[in-house]
Amino acid sequence: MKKNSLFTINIFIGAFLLFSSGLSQSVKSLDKRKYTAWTVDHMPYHILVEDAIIDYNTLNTLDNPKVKRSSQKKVVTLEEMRAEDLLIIVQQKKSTKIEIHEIWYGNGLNFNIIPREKVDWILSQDIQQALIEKDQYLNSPSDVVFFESENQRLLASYSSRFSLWKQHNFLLSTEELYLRSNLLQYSANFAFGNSLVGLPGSLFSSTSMGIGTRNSEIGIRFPAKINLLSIGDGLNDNRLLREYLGLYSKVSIDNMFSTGASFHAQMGFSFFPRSSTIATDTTFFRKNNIEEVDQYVNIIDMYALFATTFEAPVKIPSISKVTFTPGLHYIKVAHRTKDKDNKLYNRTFYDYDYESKSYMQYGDGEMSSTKEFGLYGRVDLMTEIGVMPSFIQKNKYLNFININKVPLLEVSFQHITKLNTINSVVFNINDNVSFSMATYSSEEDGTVQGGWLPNKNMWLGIRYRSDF
Amino acid sequence: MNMKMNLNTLINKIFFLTIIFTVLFGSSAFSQQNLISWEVADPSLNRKFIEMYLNKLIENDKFDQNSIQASDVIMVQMQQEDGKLTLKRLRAKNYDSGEYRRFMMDQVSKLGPDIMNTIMDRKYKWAEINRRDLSALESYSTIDNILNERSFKRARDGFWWTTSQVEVSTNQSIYIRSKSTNQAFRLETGISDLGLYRQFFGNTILGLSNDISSTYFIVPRKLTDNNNIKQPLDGTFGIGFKFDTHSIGGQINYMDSGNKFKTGRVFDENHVVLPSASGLVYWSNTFAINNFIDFSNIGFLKSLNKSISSANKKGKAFGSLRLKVGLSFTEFIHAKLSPGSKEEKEGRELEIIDRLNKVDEALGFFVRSEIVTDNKKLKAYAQANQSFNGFSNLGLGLEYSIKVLKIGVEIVRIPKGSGLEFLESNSNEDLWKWYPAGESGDQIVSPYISFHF
Repeated sequence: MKKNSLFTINIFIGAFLLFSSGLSQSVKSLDKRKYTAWTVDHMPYHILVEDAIIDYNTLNTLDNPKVKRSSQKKVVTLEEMRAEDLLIIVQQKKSTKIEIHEIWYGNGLNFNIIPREKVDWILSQDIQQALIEKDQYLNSPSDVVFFESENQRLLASYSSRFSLWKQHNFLLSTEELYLRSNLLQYSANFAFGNSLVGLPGSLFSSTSMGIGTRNSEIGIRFPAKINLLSIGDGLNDNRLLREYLGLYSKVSIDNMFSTGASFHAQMGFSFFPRSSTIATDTTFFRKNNIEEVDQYVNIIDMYALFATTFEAPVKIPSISKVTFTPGLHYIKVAHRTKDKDNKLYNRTFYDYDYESKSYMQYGDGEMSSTKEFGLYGRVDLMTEIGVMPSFIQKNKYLNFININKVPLLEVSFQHITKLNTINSVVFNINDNVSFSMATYSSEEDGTVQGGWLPNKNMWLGIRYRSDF
Repeated sequence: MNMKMNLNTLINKIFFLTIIFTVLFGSSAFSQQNLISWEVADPSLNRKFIEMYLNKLIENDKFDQNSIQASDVIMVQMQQEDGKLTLKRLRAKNYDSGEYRRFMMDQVSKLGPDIMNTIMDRKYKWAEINRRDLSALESYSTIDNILNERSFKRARDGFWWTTSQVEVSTNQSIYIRSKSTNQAFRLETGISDLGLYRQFFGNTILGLSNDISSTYFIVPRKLTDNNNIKQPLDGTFGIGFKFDTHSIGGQINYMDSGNKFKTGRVFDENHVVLPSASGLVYWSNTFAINNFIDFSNIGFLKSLNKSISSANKKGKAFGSLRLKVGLSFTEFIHAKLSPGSKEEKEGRELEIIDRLNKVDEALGFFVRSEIVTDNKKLKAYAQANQSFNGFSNLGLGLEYSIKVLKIGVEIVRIPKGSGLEFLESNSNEDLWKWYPAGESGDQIVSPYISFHF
């Protein structure tokens, strides 16, 4: 475990020393004290503004043969608004006039701004009235108009590991498949593991499939084992039973009570059948003719995570963002024995101690499940977006690395007390493709008594993301 | 039938399809005849144009044929055809009389390009035109003005949390909502969407919510004695999440059956029934409803609240109707408290006897309709839950607001035979039946009052 951690830290330090600080271009920004801004999440209103921009352009670009224009001035048209664009309404605080100050639309770095004087030309009074009444439709607070540099905008739009609403509408990786509709404001998610709750790859004991919104996700856990690019022979995941359906959900609340911190919660559980007789020693296996593989099976009854992410107020050269995520983790594992008829029996022990000549039992010997509250801690660091160290730029063999909207490196350290530690490094080779490596090490004893999780493992990963 | 529904889904789909059609096929047919219509909302431009027009009529000795007044409002319709844009129609609308008047286009064309360009370029304040205006422009639309659509939010806020900042109710709910951050603290009882009403389910929900999602702890509580309920559901500590958007919503809840139970906190220590894990997904849509009951004529309400809003006048859209249809999945556990000390402080574990969690045991249907009036004074709901395992119930609720006070009533109907069959014990295959309101069923009427600020 220590070797893996050191290896990851060495990579991080190496990259840190090699980096040079990048320059960030300033962009138009508004004073947060004077304005308030929100995104329009109600799709019918989004469409109204899209159409209004098209109409405005039509009225100002097409020739009118019946009227001779007095001058041939070049007409300034607006960029068309796309379905996936953020639509941001800006209103002046404490203004006596209830009116839209500006409208911003776009994504990432590129935002088009409709100034106050043009708002009246483009949008009817009725639409303006509807948009300004923000308590009548779905919207969310936005800080985009207040960012003072490109870097700040890129960082804000760069998805956090906890984000339920990804930056791109398509993401395929060795851990998940994410597809988002530009029109319906929903996404479909398939996950082949869940590193955030300490259960990567097949250790998650299911494949989850769900539907997501900006702040929530709900779905089904299928008993399917998908474990891609797992390195090492100690995975030992046959002690996890994958035969039962379950449900899961995730929720996030951004900018909790205007503190800038984001709250994340997720949980999942399995529906498994009742089990009656209690197996207290190995004689039960012999009496009931239990096969070796079914003697010590475990079911992830339930997992839950409550965490809060906030940006750490630290400035490190070459590091654009450091986020801390403290939280609480809960897991409950049912320890069972399975017979040939798939009937389950409660099991209160997990091994035999030849020294003391007694069975090693869970808790006081009457427990057939383990449940543990653990402290959750995670630190994420990312290098500056679009900045590469000079040695990469100069080396012709590394010219395939070309990043503009992503950081070169993303590093994370995650520890769940009494469960495990997962460290990961992600290399982005361009804005769409990245390679990753995650190391895993279990906490000795703790929740994993009976070896239902491996001692250590490593996963390699590939991620492709794009917009369609 | 006076109730008329505005089919939002259909309208949305038409809009989406129109856009998709335009994008995919370049819409050559569509672009050949595209009309853009509006009303001039800049009073000085209205006056300037009409004055110029009237002067032109006087100049050409045509004023006696004129019907347009200086106070009229101009309506413009442009036509986009084969890459060209032409002025198709121009009308003057008189708001006082509701009349539409025609301009003499031969005189309009003499006004000069400057004023015409100003009118057609639309670089001034303008307003949408309604269906009636469109017919005056000899155009007809099958698409309703999207601004007339019901935003689901008004209907949703009334049931998702509260439309006020603080609401405290004797129906065992408290909401404290910060409108500046769109977040709220919630305390509720029961999990009503799953048909597990507070009247027969011993739990309290403590949570944090935003507009879309909510996360909460589930805390057990002892039910107050109720003659209608023979065997309530027991509760224990757990957590839950729920979310609600304009078209889909759902929730999942988990209560840990591995917790220790205090003897006095369960209804019957030999038969503990616990909805240990549950989930729900639903589709929803919101419709506008017209006023089919004139509330201003109801004497009782008149006396309670003399200032009935003008929004309640008969014939006008006065509220939103939200329909939800979904599937639920609830695992019920039948257990007994393990033998041991009956000391209340100690608590005892559950010995689980049976789990109903197969698809044909746990799956159920959920239908709910919610009505909220535009003035937020009245809200009502009706809900039905029916599961494959035989447990079903109906819920109805009505609430009326008078200034800072709300009075309401909830009715929960558990039909005859509604219940669940469990194995009686681990040692035999006999069945034990759980009927929350007895085998003959019953209904519970729960009036309440709330204060909101």
